[in-house]
Amino acid sequence: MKPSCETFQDLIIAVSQGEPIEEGERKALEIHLRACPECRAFQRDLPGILEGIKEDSPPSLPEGFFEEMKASILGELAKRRSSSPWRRAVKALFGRFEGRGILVPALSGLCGLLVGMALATAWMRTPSSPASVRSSANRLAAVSLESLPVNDSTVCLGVVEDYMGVSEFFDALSDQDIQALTSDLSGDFPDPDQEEMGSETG
Amino acid sequence: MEQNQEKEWVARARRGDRGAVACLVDRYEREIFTYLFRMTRNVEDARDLTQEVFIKVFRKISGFRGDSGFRTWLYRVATNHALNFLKRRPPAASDVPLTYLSDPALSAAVALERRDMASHVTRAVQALPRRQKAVVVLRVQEGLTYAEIARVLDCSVGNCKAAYHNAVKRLREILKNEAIL
Ligand SMILES: [Zn+2]
Repeated sequence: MKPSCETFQDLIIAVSQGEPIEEGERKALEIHLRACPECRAFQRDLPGILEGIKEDSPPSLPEGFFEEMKASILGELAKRRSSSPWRRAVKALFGRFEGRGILVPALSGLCGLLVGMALATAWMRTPSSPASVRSSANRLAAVSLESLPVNDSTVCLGVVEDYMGVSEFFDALSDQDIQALTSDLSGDFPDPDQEEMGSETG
Repeated sequence: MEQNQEKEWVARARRGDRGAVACLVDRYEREIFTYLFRMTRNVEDARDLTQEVFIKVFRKISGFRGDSGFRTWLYRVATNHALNFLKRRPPAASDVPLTYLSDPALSAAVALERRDMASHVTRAVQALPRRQKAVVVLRVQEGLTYAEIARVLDCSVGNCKAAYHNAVKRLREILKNEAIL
């Protein structure tokens, strides 16, 4: 194939896609096609190939296939939501920043989150430590969380969940523990998920 | 109008409204399943991937800002899943044979000829590199624009076009080598 054929075949494909081509290009293509049997063959074959691709249809499926699939998707989503109090807790913290458009690179956010989680975890795990230790760990955790870019909260949550495996630890905590953690760290800010959870059950 | 309704569903889904989630699954599960079937050529794999895609999408929906439309986003997640899947497990030859819906308006001979051609082309599409295959399926079968495909594959429009052109040329080469054309 001559190098120019490559270009003309691109033009033939472009025309088949309804892309606009310049008048000069169209003329040149016409002239080339008259002289080049290879590109004429290409032009002749192209519709059959595209038709062939379009003809391919999905296999016949058992009745109720899509109903079942939908039910299993919704079931899985419901399970994940209700079994993750720690997500509610962390999202409640994130909710404080939502809409403020803080632009901090996601990486620093992730680090902040991890530090925050680690400190909070340490604090949760040692309820018997002296009050002074608890309160400074608590403050540090809150400061780490303050620095998070909240636009990426979902990404951070996903990464932490997927790679750190912390969700199991947090899911093992009682709702009361979570509440204590949330209210200590987020002060008097309301839980933005409250409404979400309410409308779900309603 | 449909577009507005969809936006509302997405907004409600973001607030955790299960009814809206169900509506969105209802609207798109067939389309996404069909796309993933075309990518994997296997019903079970396509079903599993479709479920994973929807679960992932709705778990992350609070981070969805709607810049590129919900459908494009779905295709993006679906394509990433499909490409990862194909990396782990390229389609086996036995996955390829298919049933085709016949168009009653066509004469038997023409229908048969078309079906033959379609099965050859389908097999040839399976032989394309993963990303080229995705571009061809998204463009020809799913009817996405180059701009949409660019967002789905996270590449430039020019890149998508070039991939499509190369894929079509390659398909013809394959079919010619098999003496189909
Ligand atoms: Zn030529």
